[in-house]
Amino acid sequence: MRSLRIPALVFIAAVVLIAFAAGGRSLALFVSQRDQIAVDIIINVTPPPVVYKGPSVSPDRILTRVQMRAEGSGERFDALPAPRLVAQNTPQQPVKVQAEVTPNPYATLLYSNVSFVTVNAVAGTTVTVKCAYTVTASTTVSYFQLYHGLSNDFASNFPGGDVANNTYISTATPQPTSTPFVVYADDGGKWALLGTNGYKQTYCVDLTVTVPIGVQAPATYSSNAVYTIYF
Amino acid sequence: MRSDGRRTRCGGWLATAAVIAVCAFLPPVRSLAATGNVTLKWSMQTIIKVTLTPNYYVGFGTVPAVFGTQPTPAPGPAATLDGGSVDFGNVLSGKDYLYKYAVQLTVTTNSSTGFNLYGEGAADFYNINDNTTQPLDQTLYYLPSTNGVTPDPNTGFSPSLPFYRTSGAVSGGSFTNPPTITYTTYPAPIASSSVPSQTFYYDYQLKVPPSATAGTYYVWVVYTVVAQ
Repeated sequence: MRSLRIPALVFIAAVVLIAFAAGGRSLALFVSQRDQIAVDIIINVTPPPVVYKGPSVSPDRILTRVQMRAEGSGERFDALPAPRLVAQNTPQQPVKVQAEVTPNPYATLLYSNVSFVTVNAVAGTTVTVKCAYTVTASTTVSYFQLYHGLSNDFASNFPGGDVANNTYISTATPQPTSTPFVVYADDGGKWALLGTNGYKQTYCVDLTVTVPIGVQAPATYSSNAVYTIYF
Repeated sequence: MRSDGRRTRCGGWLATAAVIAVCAFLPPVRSLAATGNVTLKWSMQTIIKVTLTPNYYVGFGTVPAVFGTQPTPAPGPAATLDGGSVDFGNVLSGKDYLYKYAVQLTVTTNSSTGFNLYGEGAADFYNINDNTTQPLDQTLYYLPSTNGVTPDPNTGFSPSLPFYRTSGAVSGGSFTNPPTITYTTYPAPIASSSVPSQTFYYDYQLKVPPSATAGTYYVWVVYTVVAQ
């Protein structure tokens, strides 16, 4: 028994030393995922305004169109005007959606003030929305880790990294700069550490959306900002 | 007198024959070959047929939102294959869920320019136990799905768009009776087609607000088709 007790004590002492030496990060070894939420980010993209560019040659051209047809043949028989639709019926089909909701004791462990945010932007421009939404972690522990990221890209030519976030404690000042979201689907199935904290904290999230010039517009794109808490 | 009269009648016959002969040798009258434009206008009654099939493929039902390996779909008791309602079953407040193979809409029209498809909730998400509601656009979402032959790749975290509560006039709409919506102004369509007929497949997502009280919730989603 005595021979086993000493190695066990040495092992425990080593773990404690590592924990203190490495600070909070080593605690990640002992934490587990407690909750995960998503906030839908919807981006309505409109096309850039059309700019008229004049002719490259100065003389105006006069176009003349001459058509010939055989005598006695029909004239533009296959160019009949489209019929005018009148008194159309508007059929409707309903479907019932239902659910049996049960209270969740952990529903307020991690939550957002909204389930989605909408950003309107013109293709090729950048839009910033101050405190687009908040994320609140409400725990009874003195230490938790909060991870975040986007679930996927908005489109193949609209990467999730084109949306940056500036996330800060709602009562504090924003970070100096915004950081592009990591994308879970592209970045090896990993989230980025947003920060560590304790008890109850509410974070404001500023969004900066840079819409690529080449995306299809008008169109609506969406992705999920996912938040995961560990302790 | 008698002989003069006979001569006169004979002269009349000869004159008539001469006129006919002259007419026979005349060239065709040019006005008969004239051409011109004829504009045809007509009105046509639009014919639109919409078929809605809930739970349209084997494997329909509720899947909790998780990353990685997806749980087996499990619908609520009011959902049946090709019928019933989109029943998420038991869900927890503050959690997100996907409902696979929720709705198939087959639209057939005679509109050569296509049609718009509108989809809205007749009301907010309503709790029949305590009469509370949750905002529909914070609760129920839709996203494109597949026909089922091609497996549905969606998860509870796939991109989606919210259903909105209609601003049209709603008639009916109790738990057992479906409503109708009368529009004076149509909302933004959830889909448009440039061809006369098309089939749409949708999954739904339910994002249960943390503040949702316990009980049975329901909402009618009404799809409307208007020719373009």
